[in-house]
Amino acid sequence: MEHENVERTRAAYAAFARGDMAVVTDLMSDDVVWHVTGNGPLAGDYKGQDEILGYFGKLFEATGGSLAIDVDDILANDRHATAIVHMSAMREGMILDENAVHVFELEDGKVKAFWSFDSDPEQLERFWQ
Amino acid sequence: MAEHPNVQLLRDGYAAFSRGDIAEATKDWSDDIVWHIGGRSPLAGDYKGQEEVTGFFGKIFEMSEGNFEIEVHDILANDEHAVVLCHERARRNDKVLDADSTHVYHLKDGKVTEYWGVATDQRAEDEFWS
Repeated sequence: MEHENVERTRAAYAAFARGDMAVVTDLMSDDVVWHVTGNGPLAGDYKGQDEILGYFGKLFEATGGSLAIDVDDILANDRHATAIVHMSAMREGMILDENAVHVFELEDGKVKAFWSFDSDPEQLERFWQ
Repeated sequence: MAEHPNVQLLRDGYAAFSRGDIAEATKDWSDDIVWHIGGRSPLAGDYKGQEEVTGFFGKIFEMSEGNFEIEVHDILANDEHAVVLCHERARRNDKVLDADSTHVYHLKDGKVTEYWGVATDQRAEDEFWS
């Protein structure tokens, strides 16, 4: 049987894909922190829902809405959810095409923290420069 | 909620690895296992079959003179995949590796068929092993 946090996480990715950010932020705690790793211009820690929505907005804008996250699988328990994903996007003639693991720290069904683990961080940096 | 049996399978595997019991650590691997090491260090590449993968482990132990440890934070699994959230620590000459990592496994019929390691800071990993 699937953990309920699997379904919650799946619903959040589906909402993100259709741009329904109210559903996405409803699953975040008030003091949520989004850790965007690497050395690109968007890397850093985004604190609270407003900063995170601002970051999502930048992602959409920079890629002209072409950013797509294909979710291969979602695993979860009470404390963590992980999504095995494939990211693709286009930007100024460049193509992003890489695998990543998204890790969510959960408390009472809400996201407290997010980390991305990228299989090819140098490709990401080139893409976002 | 009951834990998936693949969680315990991986937990046992990491415990065996940490005490150096490679026979035990590899007992739930399929014969055609593939180990993908990302990045750009000399260790990067695909290791195919148990012999090549255990040879890779031997190289890691040798290069770090046994100063390599994995602290497991959590293990998530279903029938097809497992993800291990962990922290890797190693020393090599005057270099230190001290970073979070995720280990992704593909499983089939309770056997590990493929592995990918995805680090928080691949560049630091590359630098450490180069």
